[in-house]
Amino acid sequence: MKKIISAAALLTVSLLPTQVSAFCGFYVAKADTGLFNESSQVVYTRDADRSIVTMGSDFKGDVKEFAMVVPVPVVVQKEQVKLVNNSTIKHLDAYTAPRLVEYFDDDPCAHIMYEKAMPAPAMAPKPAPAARARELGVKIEAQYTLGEYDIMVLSGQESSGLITWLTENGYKIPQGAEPVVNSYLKQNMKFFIAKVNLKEYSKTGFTQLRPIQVNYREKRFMLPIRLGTVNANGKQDLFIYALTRNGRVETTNYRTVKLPSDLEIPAYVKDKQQFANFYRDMFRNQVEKEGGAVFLEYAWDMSWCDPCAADPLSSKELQELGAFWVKPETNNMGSGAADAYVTRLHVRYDRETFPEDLMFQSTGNTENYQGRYIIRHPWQGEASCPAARDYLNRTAPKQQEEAAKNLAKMTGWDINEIRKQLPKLKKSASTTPWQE
Amino acid sequence: MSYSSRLDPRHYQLTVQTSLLLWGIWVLEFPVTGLQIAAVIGTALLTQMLFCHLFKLPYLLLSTLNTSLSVLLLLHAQGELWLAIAVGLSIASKFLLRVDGKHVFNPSNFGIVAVLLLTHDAWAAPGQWGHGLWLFLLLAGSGLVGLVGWRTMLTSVSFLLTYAVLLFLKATWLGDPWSIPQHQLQNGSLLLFSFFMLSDPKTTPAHPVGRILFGMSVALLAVWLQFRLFLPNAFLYALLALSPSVFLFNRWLNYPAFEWSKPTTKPEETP
Repeated sequence: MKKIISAAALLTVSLLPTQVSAFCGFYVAKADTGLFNESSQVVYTRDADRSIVTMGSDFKGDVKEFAMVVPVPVVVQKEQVKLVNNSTIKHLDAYTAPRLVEYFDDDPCAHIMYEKAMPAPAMAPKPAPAARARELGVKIEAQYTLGEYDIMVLSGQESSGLITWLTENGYKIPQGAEPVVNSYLKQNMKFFIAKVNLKEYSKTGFTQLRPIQVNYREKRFMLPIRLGTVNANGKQDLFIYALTRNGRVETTNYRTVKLPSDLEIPAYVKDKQQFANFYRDMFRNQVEKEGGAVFLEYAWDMSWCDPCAADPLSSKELQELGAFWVKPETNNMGSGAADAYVTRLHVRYDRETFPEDLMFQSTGNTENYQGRYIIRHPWQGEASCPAARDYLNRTAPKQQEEAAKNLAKMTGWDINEIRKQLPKLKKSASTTPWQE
Repeated sequence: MSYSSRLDPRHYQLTVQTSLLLWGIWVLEFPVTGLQIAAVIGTALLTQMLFCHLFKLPYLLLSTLNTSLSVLLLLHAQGELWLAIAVGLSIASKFLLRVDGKHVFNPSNFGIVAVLLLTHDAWAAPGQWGHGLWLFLLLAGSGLVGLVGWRTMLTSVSFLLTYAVLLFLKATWLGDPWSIPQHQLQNGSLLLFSFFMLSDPKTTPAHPVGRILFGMSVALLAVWLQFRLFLPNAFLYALLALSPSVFLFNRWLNYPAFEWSKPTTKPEETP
């Protein structure tokens, strides 16, 4: 039996330890989607009624076991489907990931403060006999092999027929899916199903399944997530990267909330594992606080970044992700494609908090936003002037305490535990009249 | 009908609107700036005074503030220009688009929809209130019922009831859990719209029967636009599309036009 990766499917990218050259400054680490187990990633490119949806898969088991069932609003023909390089989505993930930056305080006596940059199948599924499909009230609207996938688009009268057909064809449909499938069928949705064609897969030479992209015209700007909530496996993480010409994308039936950003946190969080823990716990804490909200992690014009967690995507990559309006680059700089705006949304959903599918709208909002967390290294030199003494005895401890409080507030961690991890700061021995 | 002896519902409305705007800015992080607030209120007052001067009418400014707040609560934009245009069109529509001595469109509804259709740089954000405020909005709306009476609020009530019935029927037909229509009904923008825009007695039918029928038609059209044409902010478009039918209801039911206070001039001359 194949395990179903359902609904808005499905890609996880592992945490990349890469240090990107910091051409726009002091970037030190990022919190990409690899931090979240069993998360899915979808790139949703939208322009007027054109939807280009790329669904990745981080499937790591035996590819024979891979299967995908996604409700789609139209019958998607072979020419409307293509496969995308995993590296392109990884790049988009890296570019939009929340980031950690660091600053170094300088000797207050030098009267300058500046920022230093960090270095930054053999068992191809048998086509089901059309007669059996008809008997069950299932219509095979389209059927084709593309790259390593065997794809079918199904429509049906009744969910029970469709579910029987899927079960007979080796798809393991979770219990409780029937009413949801039925609801989609009544809303005139089709089911896009994909399995791996092992023979073709071995020919591709890829070690990982490639993301599938579908392209269609449809007024509905939505992502179906309800099938994903049928399995009561707790909450799931979904990352949506929306690409538009004009500005931010937001949900219309859930609140879109900015995650806390631009706050100082203690320097020990710079450790890769600590930063991962920080981001995971901060996100969990915000989810608990805000309930059924969709979180904004990044919103930026694709032509630049500051600081960059990765270079902006090239025009070629943007076009690969469906941004057909982006013009090819005229120079050889390799990046800097303008005219595309990316919104990265992060949803942690289950049936209780997200009963409805996600509905979106694209807005004219081009205000930039990024998840950015700051480490400030205090200056620890010898005080040679009153300003430095004041800095060592007051400013630096105060900054450190503020950073600890920020961390506790964002993550829900115990402030006393955080304080234990803080370095002991140097004090200036000589007192001055204004400190007494 | 006169409210001169008790609290003017427009003051109440202004208080609720102001609290919501402050809550929106401070807690829900609405992208509304001080400059935008100044631009919207300033443009609204200037436009109102200009038209009052041209039509030789007294400067009645209270509902101008209601209109400004409606625009600020429901419409967002980059910069001030489109918000100012929205509120300018809202006020101008009161004076220029009139049938039988009454303005045809709810002013802020007209201004907001016009700007939504004209530019991509302004947008309404139906999800911005989340689902935490619905109880407050329901209570605030009920307060308005207590203040102006059931008859005035019939449009709002019949709209909400029809809308709710349609959503629950849809869920039943699809076999969806009731948590879905419940979630859809707890939308803050929907409640704000029904209590503080659809309750405007000047742009809804005067007769109670007319109000009930009008509220039901707006709900029917809104559901169709939202779930058939997949239009976000469908209720705003539904109200605009049906507003021209109000005068037909009034002629058919032959009921006197509503006035906020005892007229100092002829009723048809006080927008």
